[in-house]
Amino acid sequence: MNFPAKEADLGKRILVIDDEAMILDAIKIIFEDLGHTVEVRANSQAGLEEGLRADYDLVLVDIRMPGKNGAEITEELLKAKPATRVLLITAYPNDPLVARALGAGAHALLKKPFEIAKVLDFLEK
Amino acid sequence: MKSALRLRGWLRRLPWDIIAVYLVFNALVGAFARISLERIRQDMRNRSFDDLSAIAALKGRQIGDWLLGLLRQAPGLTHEIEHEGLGARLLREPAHPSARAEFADYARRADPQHRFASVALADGEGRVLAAEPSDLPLLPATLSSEVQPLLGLPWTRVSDLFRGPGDRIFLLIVSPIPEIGALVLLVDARRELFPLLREWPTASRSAETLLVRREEQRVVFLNDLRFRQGTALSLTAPLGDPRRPAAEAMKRRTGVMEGLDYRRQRVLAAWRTVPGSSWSIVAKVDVVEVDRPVRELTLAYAALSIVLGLASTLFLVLRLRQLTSHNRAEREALVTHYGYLARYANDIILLLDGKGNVVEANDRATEAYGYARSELLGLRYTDLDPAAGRPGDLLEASGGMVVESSHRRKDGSHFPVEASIRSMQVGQERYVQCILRDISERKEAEQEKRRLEELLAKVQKQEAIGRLAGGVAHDLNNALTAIQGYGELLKMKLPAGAGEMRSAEGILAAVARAARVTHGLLAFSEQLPLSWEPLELNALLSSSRQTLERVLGPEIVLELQAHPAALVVRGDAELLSQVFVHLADNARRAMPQGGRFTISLEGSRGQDNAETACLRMRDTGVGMSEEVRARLFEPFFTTQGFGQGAGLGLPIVFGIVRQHGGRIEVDSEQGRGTEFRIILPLARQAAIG
Repeated sequence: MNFPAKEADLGKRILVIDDEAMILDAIKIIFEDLGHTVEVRANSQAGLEEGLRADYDLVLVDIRMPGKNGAEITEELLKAKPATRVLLITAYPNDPLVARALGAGAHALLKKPFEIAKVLDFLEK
Repeated sequence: MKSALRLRGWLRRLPWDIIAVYLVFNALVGAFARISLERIRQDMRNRSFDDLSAIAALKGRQIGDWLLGLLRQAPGLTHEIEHEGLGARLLREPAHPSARAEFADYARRADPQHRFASVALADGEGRVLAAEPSDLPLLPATLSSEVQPLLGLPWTRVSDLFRGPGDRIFLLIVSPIPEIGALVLLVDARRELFPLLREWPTASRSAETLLVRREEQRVVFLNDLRFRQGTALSLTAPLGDPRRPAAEAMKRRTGVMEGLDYRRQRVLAAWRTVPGSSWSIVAKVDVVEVDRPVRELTLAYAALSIVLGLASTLFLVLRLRQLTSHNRAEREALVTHYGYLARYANDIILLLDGKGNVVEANDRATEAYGYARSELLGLRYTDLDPAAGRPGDLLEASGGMVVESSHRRKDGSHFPVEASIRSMQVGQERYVQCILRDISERKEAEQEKRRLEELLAKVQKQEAIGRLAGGVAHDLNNALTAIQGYGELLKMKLPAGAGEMRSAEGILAAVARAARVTHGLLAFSEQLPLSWEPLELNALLSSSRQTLERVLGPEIVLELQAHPAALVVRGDAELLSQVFVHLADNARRAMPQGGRFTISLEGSRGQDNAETACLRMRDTGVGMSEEVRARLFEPFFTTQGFGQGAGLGLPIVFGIVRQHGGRIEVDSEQGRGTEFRIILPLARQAAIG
């Protein structure tokens, strides 16, 4: 894969909702390093509110979380902002919640550990 | 010690309430008899004293009256002698015949009733001038000495009693005749006085009246005594003896007392002085006589008490016997009851003699050993328990011992028993009592329990391993996500052809491999979320054929045997496919030289009527040992050595099957191959063809 990214890629806004701090830290560091603006939320409800409050180019949502799960967040977020691109991230691709979230309009599923390149592909689309 | 205890037990069983009533009743009867008898006796005494006092007073008055009569009669008699001149003539000529005849005539007239023993005329010196009857021997010899003290007084006097000739008792009445002397009347006390004394108003065996007077320091009995004849004036008693009523009568005018009479008999006595004399009259009666009614009453009371005592004793004895026989009946009932208990007890009961021979056995024993009772009674204990020691060892079990042993039936088979053995003394003989419990069931239950406990421990262990694996896998997976991201970032940042590129790619390759491990662990820990869809197993199996063939390689023949009917389960198609893949991979490893791998589908109905599908996967490989089989589903347990395989294939299979509500059975024989059976519950609407 070829880098650096184009100018147009810079300045993309990414929201990450995951209860794992390690994941949030890694995504924030990596994507900010790549020139994007990254907002992270460890609390699913807070993440949903942030997603509703501001416009993001991409929202990464974990499926299994305490409080609201990824499918619910996807449903509520896309209901309010149907244009939002939601990427599901999970260690359990067979999870029925994944199917539900995809059914609600989630863009795609990334299985943990996922490749950064795939996320960048979605950002470029 | 034992006998004391037995005595205490016997005493405790006595009906003390009845005995107490018995004792109180008899004590009351005795006390009542004693008190009332004493009162009656005292009453009788008092009445006797009253009677005796009255009799003494009566007699005293009679004697006084008698004396007074004599004294009054005498002066009238002197008149004729005085005025007819008879006295003067006799004084002049005492021997003159006509004067003597005249005196005799006078005397007969003066005493027409012959009250006097003799009527005499005495001169002033006391000499007898004439007497009628004249032959009385005492006259004239002794008369003078008695008369003399009474002469010279101007009134009539009575002498005291005295003993005259022929042992006769007399008293004199001396009536003075002026210038001549005195008329002397001689009274025979035995004829005139003593009969008065002998008279008693009531019939009595011992009552008598005594006439006594004092002579210096002795008391003289004047009359003839009832129980000792001829004692008048000769019997005396000392004054100083306070027990003698006669002596006491000399000290006080009247009185009553209980004392001793001249016969030394106990008597009740009353006395009083005789008016106009120096005499006292003592009325007495034997205590024996007074007390006779009391004695008779006492006898009656005693008889009554004895009757009552006997009656109550009889009652007590009967009651005791009744209780004892009741106790005996109870004891016999108990013995019978224990007999039944022993005979129909659920345990084997044997009684052995000192040599170890069976002398008694209950029904359960014949049933358990298979011997007839008669056969059993001929056996020795060692025939039943070959491991038992000598009879002596059994006899030493005086405190009782409990041992587990194995006993032999008649047919030679054995069964485990718990033997409770106790030796005991019956009379002179030592016996050994054996209570034996067939503990086959208990043993089996213990084994079953042990098996279940092992199973539970295994399941718990598996669960613990699962939790651990799941926890580790989850965290590791997140860490891997971060590492993967950083590795990719590094790779992106490196200029093409940089030397560090290989390191970055190495990181990503390692992450990929670790991710496979974490996924296996998550599957094993049953934490993979499932998509529950109806799946038809025949279809699933045939769709997996290509994958399986790839896994198995060209050396191994894959054979799929479908079930004629649809077998629908609910589950996750991808995960179930993984089960086939992992088992195929396992089979490939077991058949390095190639072989046959068969998967057949069957439907069956379980014991609980639930319908199941069975996936039977058989290889013709090397098989496995029991030890390997036991640890087959532990993560990272492998027979291949490190590096050959992850050791996660079967644990993943295990986790997935369990998550689908199924179970796995394994049969394996070394050198012959292994068969896995995966049994899954059918979806409810599906049917087995």
